Amino acid sequence: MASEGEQTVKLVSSDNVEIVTERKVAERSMLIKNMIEDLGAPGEEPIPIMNVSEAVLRKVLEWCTHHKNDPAPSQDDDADSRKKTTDIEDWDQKFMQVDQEMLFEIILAANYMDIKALLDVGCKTVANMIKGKSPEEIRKTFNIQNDFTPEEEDQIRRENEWAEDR
Amino acid sequence: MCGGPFRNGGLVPPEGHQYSEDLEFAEADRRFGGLFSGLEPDYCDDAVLSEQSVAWLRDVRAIGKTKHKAFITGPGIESPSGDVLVELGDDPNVPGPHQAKWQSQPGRLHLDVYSNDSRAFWHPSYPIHVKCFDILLEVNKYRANDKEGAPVKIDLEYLHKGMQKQELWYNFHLGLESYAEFGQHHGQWWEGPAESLEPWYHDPIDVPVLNSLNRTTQQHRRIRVWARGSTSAANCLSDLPAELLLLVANQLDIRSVIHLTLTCREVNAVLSKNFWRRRLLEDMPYLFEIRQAISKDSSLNDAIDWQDLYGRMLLQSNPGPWDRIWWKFTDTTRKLPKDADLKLEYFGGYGRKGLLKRGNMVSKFDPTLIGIASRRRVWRCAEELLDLCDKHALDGNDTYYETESEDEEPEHEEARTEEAQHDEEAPDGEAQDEEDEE
Repeated sequence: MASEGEQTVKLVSSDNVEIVTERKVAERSMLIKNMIEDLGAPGEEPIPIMNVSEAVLRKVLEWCTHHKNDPAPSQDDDADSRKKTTDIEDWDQKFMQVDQEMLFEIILAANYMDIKALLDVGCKTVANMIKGKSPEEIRKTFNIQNDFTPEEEDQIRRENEWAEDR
Repeated sequence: MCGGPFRNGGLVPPEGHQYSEDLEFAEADRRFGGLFSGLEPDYCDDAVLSEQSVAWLRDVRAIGKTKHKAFITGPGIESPSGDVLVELGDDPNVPGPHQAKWQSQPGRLHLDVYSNDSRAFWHPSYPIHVKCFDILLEVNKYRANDKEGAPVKIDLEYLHKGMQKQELWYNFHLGLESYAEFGQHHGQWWEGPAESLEPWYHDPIDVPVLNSLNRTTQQHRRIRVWARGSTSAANCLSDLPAELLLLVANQLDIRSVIHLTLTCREVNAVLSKNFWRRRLLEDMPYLFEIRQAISKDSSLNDAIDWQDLYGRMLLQSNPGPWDRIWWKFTDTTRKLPKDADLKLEYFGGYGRKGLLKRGNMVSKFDPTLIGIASRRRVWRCAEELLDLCDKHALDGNDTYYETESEDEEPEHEEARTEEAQHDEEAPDGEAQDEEDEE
């Protein structure tokens, strides 16, 4: 039998496209890792990734390939996420330069496939798009419709005056 | 640790002292670039501080080290000669008075502090306010809960080592960056007009934090309208599942969060009280009373307007001079100077961006809770110190200590493999000599 590093697995996207990838790459996803362990015979049976389309899955696998040698997530990750740094490494930043629809798809896929580090990068990317912007600018950035009445908006604004000079 | 003085004399005006608003302004004016008036009432406002709330500054303990063991003494005071006179306390490693350099009172220990005296009998001792040490223990406990398996007990060896490492050549305080917050007032000691330092003089522990909870229960209802099924089809952000939107919001500073809540109903609804409660507990861990209160009484969770509480506690934690001046202005019991409105306008340009109009807005600053600011600062200092005293950080970077010739007891060796030097007869003064040369 081939060593673990050379093993491949077959993934099937939601639009029924089969993608073959290195097992080590695919196992960045805890969902896939657990499935492989359950299935027992990696490489033979295709693994369905129900909620992720081919385009998004390929994108996610691109990330996993780049990060395949990263150390496995440790218990410290939780404590680290408390520190509200929004630093993203260069490669990830470039990787995340996609249109918004793809960005949100990646976040949803990372969540579904249980890839904590990718989810983290995705959320940080969105956070960076929000930081320092006025409510109106945020709405423009994300094409959000303002559905407050002027009175409601005024009330919320007044409730939160304290935040403005902090 | 906190950089504060170990004396409390002359901070609060003597009884019957007439506090002059005019002088206060002259002072504030001077600090922000106005003309130097030369009239400095170097007292704290007795509406904010009392003899009682500054008394903690006197109570000091010392963290020291004999040949082998670090120790923490009992409480005491700074002696007139700048050393500390402390009780022995519970720590069995505290050396007996017979080892002290000077004869001192029975049951007490006279310790040199800092290392400026090369004749020091022991490794340098460091004074720390009794209350600061209590907070240090609290921080340590909080951090231990954060990381599974971390020891709850504070490691005095590393604490002493870290303090020694951070001591600056001019020997007066630890080089903690937190001082920057009031940097212009920090030379050897806290300097500057006492009035501008009010929050930092307040007792950091004896603060009625829980009083802040009662008042939030009568808050009005917030706008929390769910708008599921609205026609915002391309609205990617608010289409994210709530838990993912929360992950994004966790990465944001509070001001950005507020701006986010103002975008639309759905987002506003997701960032509801649970979000604010979590942020409060995470961002302000020094409000340990609140943490304890909700773990005892879960009904508080629902009774509290967490967003409002967050706002008030944030303001209370970081009160700028503006907040205090503002509060004094809005306090109807105070006599105001003649040109108050004019001055308010002038200050408003700096502080609250035009929000300061007398009668326009009630100050949320609560002078009875000013100690929260002090607590926050000491807490952060303690966090910083514990980071510096982290076992790995100190062991991994030992270049400084190799020159110190510290002799360790054998049982410590396995933990300190990198400290190879064991010079049994090294005089304690040697380390100081080298330090002075730097």
